[in-house]
Amino acid sequence: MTLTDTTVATRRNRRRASSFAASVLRFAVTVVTTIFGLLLVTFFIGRVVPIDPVLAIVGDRAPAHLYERTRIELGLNLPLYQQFWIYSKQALSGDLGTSVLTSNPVLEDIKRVFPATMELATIGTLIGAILGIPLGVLAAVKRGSVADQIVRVIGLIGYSVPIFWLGLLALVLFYAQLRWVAFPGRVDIVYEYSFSPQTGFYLLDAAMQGQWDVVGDLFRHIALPGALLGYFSLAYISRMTRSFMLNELSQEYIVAARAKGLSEARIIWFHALRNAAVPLVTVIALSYANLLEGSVLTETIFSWPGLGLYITNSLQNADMNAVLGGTLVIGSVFVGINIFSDLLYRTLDPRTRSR
Amino acid sequence: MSIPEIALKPYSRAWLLSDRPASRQQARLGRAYIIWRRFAENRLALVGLGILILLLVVAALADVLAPYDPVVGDLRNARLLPPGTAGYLLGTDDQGRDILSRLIYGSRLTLLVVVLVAIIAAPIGLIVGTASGYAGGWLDAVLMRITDIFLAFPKLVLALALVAALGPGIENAILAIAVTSWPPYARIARAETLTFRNSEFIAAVKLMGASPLRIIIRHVMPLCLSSLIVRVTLDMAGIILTAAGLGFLGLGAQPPLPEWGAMIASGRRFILDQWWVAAMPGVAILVVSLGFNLLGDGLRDALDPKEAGQ
Amino acid sequence: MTNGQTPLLTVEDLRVTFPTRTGEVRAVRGVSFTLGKERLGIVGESGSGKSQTGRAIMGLTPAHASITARKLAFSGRDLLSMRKAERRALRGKRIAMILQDPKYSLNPVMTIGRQIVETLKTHEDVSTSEARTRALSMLEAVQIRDPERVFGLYPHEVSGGMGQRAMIAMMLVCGPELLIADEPTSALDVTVQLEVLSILDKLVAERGMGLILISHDLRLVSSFCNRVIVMYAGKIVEELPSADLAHAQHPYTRGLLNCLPTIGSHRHPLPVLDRKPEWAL
Repeated sequence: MTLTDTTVATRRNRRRASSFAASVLRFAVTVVTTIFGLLLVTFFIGRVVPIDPVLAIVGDRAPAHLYERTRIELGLNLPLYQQFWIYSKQALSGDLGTSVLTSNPVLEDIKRVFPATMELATIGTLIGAILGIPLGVLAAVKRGSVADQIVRVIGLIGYSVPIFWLGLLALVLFYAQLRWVAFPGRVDIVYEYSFSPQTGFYLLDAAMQGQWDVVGDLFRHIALPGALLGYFSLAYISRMTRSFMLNELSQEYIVAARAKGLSEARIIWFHALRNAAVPLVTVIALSYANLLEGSVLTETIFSWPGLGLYITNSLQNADMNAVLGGTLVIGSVFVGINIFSDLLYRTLDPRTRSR
Repeated sequence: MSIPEIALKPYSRAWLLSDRPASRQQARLGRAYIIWRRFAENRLALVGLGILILLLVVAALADVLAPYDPVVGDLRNARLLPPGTAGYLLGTDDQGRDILSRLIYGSRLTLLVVVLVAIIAAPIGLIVGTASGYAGGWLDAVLMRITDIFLAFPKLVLALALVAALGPGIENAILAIAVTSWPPYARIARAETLTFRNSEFIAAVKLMGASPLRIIIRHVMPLCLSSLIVRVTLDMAGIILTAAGLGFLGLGAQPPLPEWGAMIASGRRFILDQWWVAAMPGVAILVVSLGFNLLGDGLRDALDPKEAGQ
Repeated sequence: MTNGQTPLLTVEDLRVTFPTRTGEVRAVRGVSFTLGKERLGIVGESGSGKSQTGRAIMGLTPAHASITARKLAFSGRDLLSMRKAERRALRGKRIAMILQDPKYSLNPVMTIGRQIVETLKTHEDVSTSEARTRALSMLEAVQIRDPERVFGLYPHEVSGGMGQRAMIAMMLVCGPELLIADEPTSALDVTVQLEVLSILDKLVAERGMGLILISHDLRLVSSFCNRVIVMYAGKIVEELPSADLAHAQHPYTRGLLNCLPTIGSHRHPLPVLDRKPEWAL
């Protein structure tokens, strides 16, 4: 889980965008080239695999003509650029190949497992934002105090600890020793048949169906991985909040707000935070994207049936279609989150809306 | 009317802090001294530096420091001994190997990963960024689009896919991490280059007939270095964590190499009863990446005071 | 000047000290003056302590600095011994301050109207519609032609002159008795400067406010104020009525006056401000 602030910085500079039409165009070019790049990278990774895709289908003892026919069927005799063209067309129309492991179309597998990952990442980001923003504000306001140091250390440990290790230790403590949380997994086997999810977001489904015992069980399952991802999100969000708030609190409009006789609470939580919220939106979106990625390791620890577990299982079984499909989907979701946060940024900062 | 030069004792404090350095070397050392003083004021940064020096020493002297062989254990007598057992400070694993010895040798692998990734990724980022920033125009546009594409990828997932394709192993893990690490460096180097591309001193060098290549290498790159070093140091923790994650998934260093992430993976099976097998390597990872983070924070504050507190 | 009544503001031996890594920086070192319902100018170069004097009166000195004074009283009430909340209730209500650059001193994500209404609602128990009406009439008072429109604009959407008028409206909407204007026109275009000053002039006269105008521009201050204080290195070096400026005694004041070029006289070499270390003692 490496977190980049580059996006935040670029976006700040983008405040002085020229004209609306030009920025829309630039935006479209960015999206298209990024998707193209994602396809290109996954395509080439697929080509360098040492596993021969033909042999994987026909077996090593197949006669030469069968081998050759399959090779042509797979389009492997075509020049690379044509292969890439076919690959792109298929991928963009939703055909990511078939998983060797599950023998389902990869996209269908991903549709099935992705809500679980999103649910986990959402819980994590919620925890991170709800706790991280106030902590960051506190650290900035009481800069240099003991509280600031504590927030700093919490953040630094979050940046430095291996997530899978912390997950294992948490399981030992909260599951094996204290019995506070449920066995790894998403829902208890008892409810596997009585509960039929519709949207794939189990917590939401169970709550809407009024199955409160299921909600309780789901909660006991998601609490630990959710809290773990929440901690990582908190580390990032509190650190960035502190830095944005320090920047805002040193501005002249804060002096003006004091000169107006506003209370410190209003100055901090309304004036400064409202301004810091503009770049914070990007940080929260980035944090959400990072948690989607962080789920790869978290899900293996907690047997959480999401995209991360799907990718690692496929990896272990050399199921490259599934791995690359998963990579492509996560990459596209990243692009989507970026677009979303950009739009949100525009609505929050009046300076990006020109008259 | 000049103030008479007082001869300062070379390498003394006053000599270093003199605002009229007599030689290039004195000016350089003086600047380094000021940065060091700013850095040394930050106690946490010194802790970080201490951790890294310790890591270097341990890695260098692993043969002397490690009480046991890291690979071959005592299967008969020493399986899964708890920490504190006579002779085994941190306990032993399922193959009767001393965990402390494995951690000590593992520090070499951690250093290897960190150093190699830095050596591969930082120069790529530096070259792409400075070329892009200095040349501008279509070259800039193309290079930055490529950079953005790599930035759009989730790093760990891309590294996973790469290692899956190249085959598991520590070399491929290093390569995969390096491939996913350079884009932010390119961004930083480009931003730095843009700030002084049109400055007077570059114009002066140009007038003297220096080629673009010479300008980039001799004049632009050195100025990008300090912010790049800070960024690379701050990234080290992430690199260590990614490498450990790959090791944990069985895609990094292969057994019996004492890689810390892989050690956690092999200890996972006994986590409920012999917790120390998985716990100890995690502590090592935490301490080392914390060291890099503290050092990076301190370096940033010392090299770039206006960013301090960020 | 005080006519035997309590003066609006009394400052006696005001000192502001900032601790820094290399030792204490004494920004203001024993400033004393009194102010009635009149206009006082404080002049000095940057670093002379003029702005810190203004901020100390407002109570806006950074928390890590220390302020001492034998007396710092606003209409008879001691400001330094006051509780924080009382001091805050004075700010914006009875003492107000105008800052230098509207580009930075207005909150960029709030409309101008909301920022004016906010001052009112902080100090007075007014309904939203009444606050709006008063904000609009205040915008009119600072000679904004289309108050309804400007009310809904964001600070980045208006010019510097317009922004500074909005700032004045925001600070004067509660009808303060004392206004501290810290370089109110230095960030503006020359043509706009006079407009903003004349608006300020009119409002101060109409509402009978006391005014402290802080500036580096001696001519501007002397044409606008009744009295001028000249500060150097945290101290007052000279205090005199504007009318007597031509007879200034202190060489520093004379230096400041001589800096200005006059038409018809060739001066070579250009005079440089003389700074004698003993003035700072």
